Amino acid sequence: MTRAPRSLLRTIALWLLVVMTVGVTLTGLLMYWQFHTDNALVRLQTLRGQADLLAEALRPGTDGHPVLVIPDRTAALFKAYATHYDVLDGNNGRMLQASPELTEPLWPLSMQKSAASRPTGTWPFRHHSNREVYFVTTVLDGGELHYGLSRIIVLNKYPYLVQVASTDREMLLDSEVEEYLDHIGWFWLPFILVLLGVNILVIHRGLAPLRRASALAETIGPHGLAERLPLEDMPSEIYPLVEAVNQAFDRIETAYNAQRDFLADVTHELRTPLAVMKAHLSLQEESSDTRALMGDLAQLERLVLQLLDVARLDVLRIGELDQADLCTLAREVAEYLAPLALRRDRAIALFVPGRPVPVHGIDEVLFRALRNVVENALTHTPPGTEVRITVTAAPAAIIVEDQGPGIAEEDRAALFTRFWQKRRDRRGGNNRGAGLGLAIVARTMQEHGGRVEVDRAMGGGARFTLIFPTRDHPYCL
Amino acid sequence: MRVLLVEDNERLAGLIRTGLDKAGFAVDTWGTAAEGREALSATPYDVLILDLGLPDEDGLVLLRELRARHDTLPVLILTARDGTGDRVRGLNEGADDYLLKPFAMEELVARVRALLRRSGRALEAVLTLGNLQFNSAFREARVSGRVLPLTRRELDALELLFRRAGRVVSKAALEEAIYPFDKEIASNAIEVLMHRLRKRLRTAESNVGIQTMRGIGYILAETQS
Repeated sequence: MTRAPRSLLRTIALWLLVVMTVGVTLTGLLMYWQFHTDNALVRLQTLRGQADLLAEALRPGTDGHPVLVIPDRTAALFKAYATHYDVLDGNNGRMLQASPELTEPLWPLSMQKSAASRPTGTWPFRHHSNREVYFVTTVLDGGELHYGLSRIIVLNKYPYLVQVASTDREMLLDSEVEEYLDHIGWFWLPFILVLLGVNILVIHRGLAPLRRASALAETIGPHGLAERLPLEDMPSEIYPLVEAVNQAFDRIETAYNAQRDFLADVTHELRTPLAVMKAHLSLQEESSDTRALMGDLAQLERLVLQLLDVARLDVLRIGELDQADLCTLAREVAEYLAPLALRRDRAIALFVPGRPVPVHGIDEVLFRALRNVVENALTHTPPGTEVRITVTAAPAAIIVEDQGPGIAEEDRAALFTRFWQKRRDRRGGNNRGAGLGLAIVARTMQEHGGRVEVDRAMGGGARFTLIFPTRDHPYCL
Repeated sequence: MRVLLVEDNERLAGLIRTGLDKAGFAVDTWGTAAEGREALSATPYDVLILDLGLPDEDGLVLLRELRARHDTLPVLILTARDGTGDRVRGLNEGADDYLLKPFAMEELVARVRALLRRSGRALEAVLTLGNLQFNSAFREARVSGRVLPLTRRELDALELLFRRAGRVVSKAALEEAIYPFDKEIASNAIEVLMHRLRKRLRTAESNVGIQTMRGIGYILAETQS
């Protein structure tokens, strides 16, 4: 089993997506962390500033305790930040001064020393020093999260606690920053998509020469060996591969031509001595010896010619313009074999449509194939009977029927393999072939994009059908 | 009848020469195109048998030269090449017939005879097959020496069959030969003619018969006993 080839484009797109997702996530996390650190700093400084302002606003009071005299600017600021504030006695924790809504201290004195007995909803957030406690609370303004600062100050040698609390909403530019982040975040998605799209487009375009080369490569076969893959616009990464493929084609073409030339030579070299033997033998006084030799020679000749046919099929090139007419073909074969049939007391009948049936192919090659089929039929049809050759136009086909014993279904598949010959033919006689004839037929039909079928004729004999592809039936159904 | 054979394989050339000698031809044999060319310019021949694969030149060159000077000498090409198009090329260059090696000697002799007849150089006066004879000069047919009463068209048909004895003569060829000027002849005219001819041969007890190959044509051949 072969795995479907992996798409380069898909792999790249997938990895790009992974890398970008990781990148975006990391960037987001980093920004989030940075943002929070900054927030904490801004928050702490704001609270400290407020605590400073509150401490500055303390004036010595008449009863020895200080009073708050909040200047307008500070009041405006507190209002803007919605600041809750109070001032506690540093020794007993009594709330001396407070913003009007407060009834309890923001951070009781007991908590300043130990966080053990904190009131519900309030937590120490961070201890900065002994003097300062940073806390959060949810008891104010209906449970909203407040950040607070409680600081020990000393006024006239007496300790006090100044405490302020405010929400993030007031303290930070928070919302704006977050909104900005949201916008940036949304920008990532189209950005990724565009990046991905651009990448895919670039790769796709970069591979275009390769696709063109592939399309061309498909047309390269025995019929178009001179074609080469185009090297222009080929990306440098693929260039060596294409070049190597072209060089491989060069070698194949050379080998192919060498084989073809060799075959032509062999043909010549084999035919001439056969011709000499045959001529020599035919000039001898006829005797049982010469007759036997003639038979042997005929068999040898047949074998040689069939082997040459097989070899020739290996180097067969059907040209774009090669055309053969099935009617002419059938007529030529019938005329060629009719005298032979007559000598063997058999007959051939031909049935052709009134008009030509053109197919794409080489008539000489097809002639030999059809001759093999008809010769085979003449061998198996009994004396005094007829072999029928019928040409049909749709589908383009030649049907050859004999009146012999027919071919058993289990033998049909093996019939077209080389050197298969049914025992029914082993009784001898020099019309016995080399068993190559029908293999040649099958191969010839295959080269022509068609096929040969065998089944039972009406009268019970064998029926061979050579079916050709035509424009109306391009797939030779 | 003088035959020029240009064939480089000496043994084959010698055998062909012997075969043609036996059949009554005078044969000159040469092994190269150059020698063949020289022989052709020196002696008038009736037929040229030309091998294509000669050692010095392609036999087709010789053929082309011959046809270029409008020499109608009948040429039979002999070759071991049977690649696609070789036959067509040979015939296009003006060869009259084409024989592929290996061939039967009788076939070669028959082809040479046919070439001579076709070219009108050596119309044998009397053609013989079995006990049937056809005298083309007197235009009469005899079975065992007795004249066969035949009409002109029957004689025409018999002559055509005789000249191609043992080979198929198509119905179209017969129509063309027997009714050359008739635009419209009955579709079964040839069948009727052949039927009559066959009957006359049988009545005269000839051992030659006309075999019908359905859809292909007719063959004049000795009937098998």
